[in-house]
Amino acid sequence: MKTPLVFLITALSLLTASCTNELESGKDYPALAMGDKTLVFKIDKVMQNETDVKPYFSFFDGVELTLSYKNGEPSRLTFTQAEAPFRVTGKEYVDVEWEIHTAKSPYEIREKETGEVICYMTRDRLVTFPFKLGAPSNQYEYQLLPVGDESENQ
Amino acid sequence: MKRYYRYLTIAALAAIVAGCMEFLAINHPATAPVNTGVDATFDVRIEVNKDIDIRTTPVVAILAPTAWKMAENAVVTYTTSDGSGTKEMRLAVGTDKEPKTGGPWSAALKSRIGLKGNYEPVEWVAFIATTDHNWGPNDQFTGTVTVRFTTGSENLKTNLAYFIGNTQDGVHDDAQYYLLHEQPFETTGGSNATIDYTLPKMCSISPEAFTWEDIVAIKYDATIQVDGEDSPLKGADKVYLMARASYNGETQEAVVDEVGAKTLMAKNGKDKWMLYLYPHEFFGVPAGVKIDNVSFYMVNADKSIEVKMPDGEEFSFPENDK
Repeated sequence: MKTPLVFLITALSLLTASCTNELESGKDYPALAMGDKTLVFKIDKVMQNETDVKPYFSFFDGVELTLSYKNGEPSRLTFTQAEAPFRVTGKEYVDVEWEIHTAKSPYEIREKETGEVICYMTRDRLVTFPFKLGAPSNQYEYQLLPVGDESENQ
Repeated sequence: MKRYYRYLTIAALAAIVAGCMEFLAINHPATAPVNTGVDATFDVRIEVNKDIDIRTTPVVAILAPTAWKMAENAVVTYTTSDGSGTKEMRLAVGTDKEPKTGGPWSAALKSRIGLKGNYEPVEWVAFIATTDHNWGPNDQFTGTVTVRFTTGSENLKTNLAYFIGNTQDGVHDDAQYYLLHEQPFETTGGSNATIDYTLPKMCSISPEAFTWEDIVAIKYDATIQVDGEDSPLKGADKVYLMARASYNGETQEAVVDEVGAKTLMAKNGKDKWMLYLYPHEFFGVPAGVKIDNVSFYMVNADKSIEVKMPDGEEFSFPENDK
């Protein structure tokens, strides 16, 4: 009678472990996506403190982040902010190699070559770019979400 | 003819109590830290130029932010050259009637002298001498009024005002019957962004802390009256923002005065309007070039109605980069 119980506990443990591994491997997580994919992120909100100011400006529509994966690993990154009148990153990132650091949440998306943090990503596919503009007490943040279908790389 | 003499008599009686009054010196700081005691002194000269046979009781009133609670914390004293020593003054109460209006002193001062360009809550608080003086005809003397008060806890910029008069003349129609001093004053060192009492709040900038490098919302509240008058654009269907920026060390200026989508303010409630803008983009000032100042006003679609400051100047808000 004890044997089935032990078997059940073992099975449950394995199932749980399996789920954890799957989450960590990022099957549904774009930063750790499987296969060759290109994800395009567009601005959903531009937070100024507690206010979303995106609806008042059209120039945020052109801000775009592209993340591509090769063989399930982070590959190339391009961040386009040409239409915005200010830059929220210290430099332009065009077709650079990227990597993700998952030691803490939100995860850090970094340029592989320099180790610079470019932006952050949460498990629900929200990419954020915190930035400052004028008064030090004002907190700004781009919040981007993936748009359209995830395309398979050719 | 009888009426003529009656008016002449009234005028003569009105002049009886009147004297020649002037400030000899005013010692008042322009700024002070928050929660700090401030001493202000006013040296005055008074000449009683007509025969009076009634006692004269000095009145001193202070216009200050309501939040400072002057009635509770201000102490007013005075000395005169008649050798009677330092005299105290007490807070005027409801039973102390201002003679011209028959109402409380605070209300009389507010209605007859006004709030001196303050658009946030301020109040007149009056103090009355506890001593009557038997000043006689042609008496001349000097005196010093000392006002001690404690500033409030917030950084603010306001126009203080001081009234020095007497209980007989009250807040007279003729300003020679009293002394009035207006004192721009700012408190510093608090944790809040400075609240400017002197700016009409029909317009404001959001967020409260900002520089012209920030994204800002310029807000216009047409429900706010100025000097008892409705804002000229109250009830308007569309409101547009006209603005100018000085930049590059104020050596250059950019003006946006078009009526169109760019300047059309969004409704933010009934008769309330706002326009979000990123100043560099709005004015076409290159990134990296400092915008020094922005001023603006509002118009209707054909620009036949303009809303500016009461003095005709454009609205302007200093950067507040806390």
